[in-house]
Amino acid sequence: MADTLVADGDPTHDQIREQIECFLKEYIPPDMPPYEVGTTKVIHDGLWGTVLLHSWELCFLDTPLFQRLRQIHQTGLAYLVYPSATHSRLEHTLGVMHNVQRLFEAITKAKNQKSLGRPDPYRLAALFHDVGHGIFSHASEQVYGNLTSASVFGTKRPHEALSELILSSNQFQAYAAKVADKHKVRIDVETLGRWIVGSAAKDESERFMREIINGPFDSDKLDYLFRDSHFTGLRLSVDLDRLWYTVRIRKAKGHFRLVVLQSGATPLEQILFSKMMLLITVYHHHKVRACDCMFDGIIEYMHEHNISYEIRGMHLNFRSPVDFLWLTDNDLYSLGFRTPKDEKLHDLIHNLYFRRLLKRAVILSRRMVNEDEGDNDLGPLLEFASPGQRSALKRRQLAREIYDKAKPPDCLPQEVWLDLPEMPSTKAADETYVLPTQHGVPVPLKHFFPAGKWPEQYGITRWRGHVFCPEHCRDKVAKATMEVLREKYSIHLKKDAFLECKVKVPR
Amino acid sequence: MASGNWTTFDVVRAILAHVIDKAQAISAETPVLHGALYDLAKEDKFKPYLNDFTFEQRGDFPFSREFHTQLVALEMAGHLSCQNPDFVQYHILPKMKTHFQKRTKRFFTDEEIADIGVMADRFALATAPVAATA
Repeated sequence: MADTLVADGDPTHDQIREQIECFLKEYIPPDMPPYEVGTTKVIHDGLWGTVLLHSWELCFLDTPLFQRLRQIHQTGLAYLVYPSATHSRLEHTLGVMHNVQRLFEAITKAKNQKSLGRPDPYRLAALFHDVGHGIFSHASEQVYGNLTSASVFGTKRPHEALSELILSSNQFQAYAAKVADKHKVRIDVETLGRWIVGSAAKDESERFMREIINGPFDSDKLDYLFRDSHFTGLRLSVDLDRLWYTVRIRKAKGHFRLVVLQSGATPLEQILFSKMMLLITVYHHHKVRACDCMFDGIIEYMHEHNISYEIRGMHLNFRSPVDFLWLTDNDLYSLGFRTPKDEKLHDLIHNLYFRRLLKRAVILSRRMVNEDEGDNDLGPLLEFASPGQRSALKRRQLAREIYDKAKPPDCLPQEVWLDLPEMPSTKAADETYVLPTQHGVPVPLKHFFPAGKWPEQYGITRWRGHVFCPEHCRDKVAKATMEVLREKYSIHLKKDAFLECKVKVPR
Repeated sequence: MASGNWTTFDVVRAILAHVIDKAQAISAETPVLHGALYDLAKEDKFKPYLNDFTFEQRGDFPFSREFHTQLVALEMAGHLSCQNPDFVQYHILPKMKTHFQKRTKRFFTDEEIADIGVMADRFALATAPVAATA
């Protein structure tokens, strides 16, 4: 079984589907947990309090497929920078279910043009929405999202595409049918998968349904904004009570969608600003980015040296996104402890485990470019901040050029990184609608104030790229970076680009 | 036809360098900008230039993360400026013209420059700014 999955090249879409089926053989049990019909369970969540689960939901939650989410940090490796950010994907999943219920109740209470039906499908979509996350959440997504094999996902977010693939698998569908049959509920996994990836149905008139799961103020966002800010200690505020009070379903631009009354615009603005604040302060914190690069370096080293990871009879070579589903966070660290065959790999993993982080050698931002010399144009370099494999390869090529020029002693190529985070976007602001009067026509939020551009401008101002390397070779790498950028792109860096990293200004 | 010595970033710059001959500003509305590029990218004639742009279709309008990155990069590099308080127009700064036109000549063949001119005309028309709505 395992051998068929270790392909020489990159797996095709069909092979990825086959790999998903293979993965689910291990993670979906042949028998359902014996919950009686009508059973409910109460779980206490540290953030939201009581979360009630129904018997059919428990049948999913208690499978290894969902329990593995306990072992995956919600914010990836950010806990190495924000020590209390140890909350898991499972906690977040339960929080999203809670917020779906609150959103559902708020909409149901209000006078609407459309009925939502029962809450069950939305709750199940919330439960299933992150099942496609693998080791270290978005840190691994950034790696497998750039694999050639991930191109089959198109423009879908890779972890959401994996969730959809899991839901559409034969084994998941068979299990869901058994649960539905016993507990007398309807489980339309195809529709739930579509909501999760945010794809439009053929008839999109009822867009509000998917917007509850994947929309401008969906329940996923409402949970992660609160949860990630709470557990990192960042004080952010969104007036949820006001949001619940003002949410409605109205027709706008041909679709029935979630809108808010004008008096509810403030929480929408708070959501946009909070998202940007979390992005800049937590997800793009330079040490968090250094951790992500270190994880990337481990996988790159394994690729280059043909090292596979053995787990349950499988030999994972990390050429397929599915390989990342097999691992939870501690599995990687255990590899560092139990396979000392390759000392360098052992060191790379231990550096992450014991928080011996890469350091900044250079900061790249608009403020760091010398406007009096050269083209004063970070543009061609910033192009590599684009998402996708092509940009990722360019960044690696450039980092390798810096490495080759610096010739740093006791340093692997996998320890020198050019990191250019994706530019902040507030596209959601263009799809967020406000109802000026109870009976009026909804208009985009941006008609009231530049909802997208203000936080976006803030994000642009705060955006920074970096070159990371081990502490002992920072001076050499800084000098090499300065030379490579000057020769290739006519970019002349200011002294601050080095001084703020506590690096000697190269001559 | 395509000399291939350029990137999509060069194509966008070349389009904007042509646009500046006709207008000093373009709309900064995301749906307008991305919609205009999407319409061009759909055409066989322009595909070789715009092939690397992918467009998400999940929302109300096509959205390319690559194009978004390029616009932000141009803002960061000081070539485009989106002005307070309305943020409804991108002003193409004069220094961009000479700088970009120089680059256009360096990277593109005459035939390619002619294609870019056609794309730029279409882009300028589709992204002509409207008055602030606020």
